Amino acid sequence: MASLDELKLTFFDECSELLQDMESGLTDMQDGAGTADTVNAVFRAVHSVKGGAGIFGFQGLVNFAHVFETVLDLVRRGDLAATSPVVSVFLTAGDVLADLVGMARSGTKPPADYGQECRVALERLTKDGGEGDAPAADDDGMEGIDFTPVAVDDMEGIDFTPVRADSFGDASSGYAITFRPKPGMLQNANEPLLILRELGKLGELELTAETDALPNLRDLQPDQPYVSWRGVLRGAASKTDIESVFEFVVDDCDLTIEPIETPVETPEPMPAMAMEPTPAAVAAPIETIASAAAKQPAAPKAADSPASTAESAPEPRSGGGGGTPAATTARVDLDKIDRVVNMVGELVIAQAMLGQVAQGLPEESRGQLSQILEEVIHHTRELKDSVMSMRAQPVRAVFQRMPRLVRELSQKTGKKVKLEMVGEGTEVDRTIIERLSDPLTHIIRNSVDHGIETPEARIAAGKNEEGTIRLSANHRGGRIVIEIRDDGGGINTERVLKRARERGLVDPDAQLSEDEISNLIFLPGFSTAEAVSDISGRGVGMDVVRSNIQDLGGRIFLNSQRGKGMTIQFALPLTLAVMDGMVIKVGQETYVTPMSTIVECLRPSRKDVHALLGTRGMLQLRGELVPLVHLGELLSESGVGGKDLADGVVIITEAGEGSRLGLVVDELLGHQQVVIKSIEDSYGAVPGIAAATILGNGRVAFILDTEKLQELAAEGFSPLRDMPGARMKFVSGAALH
Amino acid sequence: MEEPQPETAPAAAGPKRILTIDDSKTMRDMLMFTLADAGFEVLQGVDGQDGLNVLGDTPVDVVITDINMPIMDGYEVIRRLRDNPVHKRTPILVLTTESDAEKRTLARSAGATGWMVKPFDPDRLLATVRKVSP
Repeated sequence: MASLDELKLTFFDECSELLQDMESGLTDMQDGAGTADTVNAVFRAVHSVKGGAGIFGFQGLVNFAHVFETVLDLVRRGDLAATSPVVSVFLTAGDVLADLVGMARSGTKPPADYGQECRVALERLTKDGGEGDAPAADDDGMEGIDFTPVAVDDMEGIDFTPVRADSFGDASSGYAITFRPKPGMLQNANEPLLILRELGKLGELELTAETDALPNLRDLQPDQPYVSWRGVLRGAASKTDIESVFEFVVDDCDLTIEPIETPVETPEPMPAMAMEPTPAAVAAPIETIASAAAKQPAAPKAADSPASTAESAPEPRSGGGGGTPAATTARVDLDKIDRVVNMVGELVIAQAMLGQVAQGLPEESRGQLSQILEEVIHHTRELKDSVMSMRAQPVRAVFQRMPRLVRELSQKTGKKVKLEMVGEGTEVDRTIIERLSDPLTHIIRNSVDHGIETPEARIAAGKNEEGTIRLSANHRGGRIVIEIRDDGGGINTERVLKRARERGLVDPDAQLSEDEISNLIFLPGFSTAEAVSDISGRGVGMDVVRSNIQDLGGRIFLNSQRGKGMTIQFALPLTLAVMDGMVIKVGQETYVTPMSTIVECLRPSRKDVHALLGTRGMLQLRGELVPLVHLGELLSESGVGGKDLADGVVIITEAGEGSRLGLVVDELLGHQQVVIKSIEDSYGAVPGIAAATILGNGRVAFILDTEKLQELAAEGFSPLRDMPGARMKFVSGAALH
Repeated sequence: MEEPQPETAPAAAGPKRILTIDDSKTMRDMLMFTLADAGFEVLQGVDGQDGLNVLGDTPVDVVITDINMPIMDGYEVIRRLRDNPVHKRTPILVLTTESDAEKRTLARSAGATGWMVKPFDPDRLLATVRKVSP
């Protein structure tokens, strides 16, 4: 049995989903794309939040959700039009609701007047829209079944044992009751006997059965009620108490409940007709009458009689207190999935080793083994993909936070901004999702704060007064690409250049292209904000965004067009555990280059390699010059110094947009999936090396960080030259498991 | 007068069985928590259609269903159950946040036995379940 705390966790998990549904529904409504189903879905979300919150006693949350739900109900019924101002109240209400859920989750008690303004706005809508209509979803008309929420937490110690009504004394007061069931009552599975049993619990009950309506046996219909009752209930039970017994059948019977002013003479109890207030005794005599009515042995439709269902033996079910819900999803502990991910990683390594061994076998015995190995490789890959997809989550989880951000920012800045989102369903590893939030938030803040112009400026520039930010995600070549595009003013390159020069980030007389200037904003210590505004420019710059993305093995691209807008792209790996790599050989060492960074591999002809001043060499490739560097030289591999650049294989890598580097290596060993093993825990960050992996022969190989290598090539620095000790340990593999 | 018939005896000698249908996991868990604790055997459905699939022709003592659900709403669940000879006489309690009279009438005309409003108080829920079930 789940503990209450676990139930709470379930509730909060569910709340996040519900709030997302609500948010996306409201966004659709705002865009005019809302249908009746949309309104219904939003209503259902809010109402489920309310339902759950009540169970756990989050009263503030319940109250607010109730008001919100009431107004949504008006829209749902068509009593209130979902005009733009109405929807914007809803959006604010959604934010308040999300805040209240957040507070409930963190255990913070919300301030008493939290969201008061919004609540007033909602209540105003109720009055405007619901004129002449009974307040929707109100508890009016619910007399007797008003289920005041009682927090489960508070349930302990409260004794709910029914108190015998007559224990209050004054047994002389009471009510005269007549109860005549109509046919509908039995059809809705309401059983008169059970009602009388309840009634008997309220006090001293004396009843007489009226059997006048009983037909001849052959005319008797088993599903018709023929018997009525009248009698007196004595005790302190109020009329409301009595009514509540009949709450479900009040429309399916003729019922009168009249107070008895003076004690009447108690009719002489008839042995079979009178009832004692104890349930067991109540049931017995009445039952006889009812069974006469409801289950005559000769009745042809005996199978349909009220209780025959109950009599038919149920098929045995697997016991143990619960059935098997046919749920289509299961919540699994992430740790468990991670364990599978790790095992798959080991499997990939073992399989590579197996391949290695197979290579060493004589030709004749190798054939069949290779065939089986092929199959193993295929299955391993599928297994890897499946388990990775279990860890994958739609980017919606992080995208959904952005509409609110944009809304708040546009309010603060007085700008009009519309946020479009595309591809929220695109899936990526959840670790990546979790770490996407900060960079994305930062860029969107920047966009609204610096990118999008004021409505006046936009009109003056001949643009729509409302700016647009388009957030999209899609899969491209084994990576996920997230793009943030705005139609604002773009980067003010003069200002950026001026700032960069002031800070000594660029040479005073360096000639930079527009693109190069734009990319200066990624430099550490650069802040584009002229004045530090409330929104962005608080010291966290684009350099942090870039390093966040790089830490995830991703790349960031920027494209700015003055006056037209700016586009920023993150290209991220789909998973952080396994990747496709090209295994290469340099000197005595093997390395792995991520496939995603490789543009092409080629063996250059000597005439295409040019020695240009200030460079190690340039490769002329289809009219373009690509700088070349020998990887071994770059990594201080011994015995490669001064090697001819044209004497090897060139891997053209691309790190940033347009920034290419040709890495000269000795040999390409092949394409392989590798398991990424972090080395940072043991050695800290090593420039140029992203991680390590274990190859089929059991040796450790470094995974190259191509972007960093480009920088190193430009600086002429070798990452490993200064740490020979570390290098020895790496090669021995001692630090890896 | 003949001997009292076991008309109102439990469906089986074992624990009473209840089907709960709700699209909210919190609500399902909470119902499970409350009902299983009180000794009921609980079947669950995540929406109307699922609930009917889970139930099939297995007799249960009580059905508790939400109204507002994706795929198949509670009204339809009630109608389908009433059309099935096995479940024709099974008490069906509606458990929903909606509380207006019109919805209640709709549920009743579909064949609902009773009506409860979320959030529920566990003891009231149990009392109501016992009230409609033998």
